[in-house]
Amino acid sequence: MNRLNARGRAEAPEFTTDITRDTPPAVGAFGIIRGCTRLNPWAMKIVTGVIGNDIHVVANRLMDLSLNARGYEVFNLGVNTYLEEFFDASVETGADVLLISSLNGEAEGWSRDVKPLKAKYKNLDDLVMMIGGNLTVGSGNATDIIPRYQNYGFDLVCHQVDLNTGLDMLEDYLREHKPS
Amino acid sequence: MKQANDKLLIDIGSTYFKLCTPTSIEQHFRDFNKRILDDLNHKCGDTVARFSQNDIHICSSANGGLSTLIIGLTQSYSLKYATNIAYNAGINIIESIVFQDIKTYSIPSDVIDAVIIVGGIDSNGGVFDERLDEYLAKLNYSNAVFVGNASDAETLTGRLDKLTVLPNIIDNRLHIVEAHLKEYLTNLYQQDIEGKQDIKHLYDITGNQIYSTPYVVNRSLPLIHTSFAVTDPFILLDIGGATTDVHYSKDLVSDNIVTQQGHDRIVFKKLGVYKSRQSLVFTAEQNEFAYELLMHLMVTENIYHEHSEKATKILMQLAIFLVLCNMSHYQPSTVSLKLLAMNSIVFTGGITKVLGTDDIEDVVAFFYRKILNSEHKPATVLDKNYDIWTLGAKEHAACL
Repeated sequence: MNRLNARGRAEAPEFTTDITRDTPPAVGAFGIIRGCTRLNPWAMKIVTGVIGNDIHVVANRLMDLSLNARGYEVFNLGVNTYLEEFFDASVETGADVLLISSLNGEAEGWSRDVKPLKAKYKNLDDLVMMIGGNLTVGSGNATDIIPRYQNYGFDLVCHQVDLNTGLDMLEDYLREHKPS
Repeated sequence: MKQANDKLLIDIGSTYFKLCTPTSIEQHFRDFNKRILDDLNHKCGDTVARFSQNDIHICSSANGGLSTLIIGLTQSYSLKYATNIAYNAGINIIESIVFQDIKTYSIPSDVIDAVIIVGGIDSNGGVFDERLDEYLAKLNYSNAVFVGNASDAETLTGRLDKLTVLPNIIDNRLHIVEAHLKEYLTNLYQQDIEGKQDIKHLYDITGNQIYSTPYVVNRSLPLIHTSFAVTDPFILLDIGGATTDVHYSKDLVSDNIVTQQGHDRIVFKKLGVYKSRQSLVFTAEQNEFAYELLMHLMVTENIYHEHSEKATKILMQLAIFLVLCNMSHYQPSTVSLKLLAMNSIVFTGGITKVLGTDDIEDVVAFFYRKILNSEHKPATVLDKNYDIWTLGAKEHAACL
């Protein structure tokens, strides 16, 4: 994740924190292009944060900056966030995407509760669920990890994937599944 | 501005009333056959007569305060924020309802003084549908206030009677905004007092607003170190005749609420040793460790039915134990405090007249050993002379 964020920062000179939510980003701004005409991230709300007892705040801050730069309306819950808070924040904000990140690997323990907990909410059926970062303790490969997390209830799983690559995957997914 | 020292401070409780003059503090057991004002004039008319109306400041926790029911979208945000604001405004919460499950909740039979409806950031509208109207139609309430998202505020105003709309208590970054609702509830408490036959007569002797006692006590907490050897984080237990109030340092909760004040309050409405004695006994009978505590105190369950000095003492010890249980992971209620991080536990109210430091420390140690499996021992501080209330009342009076 460190490598991922360090690269993300270095490769994204267009990152900015002074985007105001009243003004959409200019056409061609970082992440909005890629030949997409229908996807409008500006109108999309995304809840993000670091799950569990994980305090890796730098990665979380980089994620926040990247998402803002791509034009999403970001609700960053920060570090040390519990699963209930993620879902509750999604309800309160009417979020389109829930993006959970983890660095210390404890995501797996929490993710086992995703399906039963989400089932208790009556209005989260359309919520796109994404998780990324370092998703296992010790070594593991994406071939094993991704299906496991998909089985936990995530639509998109990024294990040790570059930040920008992961966010590109999200855009592709949204373009395909939420065209309007 | 006059110094608070020139003022008479009066606290009306459910069992006792207290008077604080610049030179003394007096406490009297209430005569329930008389109006409060008559009782006050009868027992300390001379003291009251020495002060002008503008120099008399009164707070009251009698009648248990206002009751509220909160309807919110989620536990972690809307309900938690509204609960926090309501408690800090001195209001008691009857029920908290998660809106998506509203049909599964029963309708309280009591009249609700205020219904608080909250949910959604301003850009998330259309979350409160007709299920809200149906529930409220069956509910017996006096006031309703909407402090949720802006777009639902407009539609609900047309659909619901008696609805007051205030700015959203959840801002666009999911942070709490407490000022408007807190002011509304504080004023509602004021109006409630004016409407209550027994209390409103007290306006004959004061020219100042009558506040709720917990609200006043909460103001003293940042200053508590000036009078007591208290180490942060601490909790303050005010075990009274009808209710038990707990004020606690924010450091004791893992919360996503960021507010300006350093201390919050919760109330256990039916946990007192006089008016709420029956419900206290009922709660004790439901607690599996209460029996062991009675054994530890070398009494049997027959003590519940005795009316003696010893029985009062035991019930107060039980109340301490039950309150601590309710705030621990064992029986989490509204909040779950990190009690192992607590350095001081402060007691005020009637309990300090009955129990000594040893009696209290015995129960606290029992709680930590049995429930938290720890030898942790927070310092016990007893406010025997109502200094905390005096501190808060003086601070409050000085600010007016």
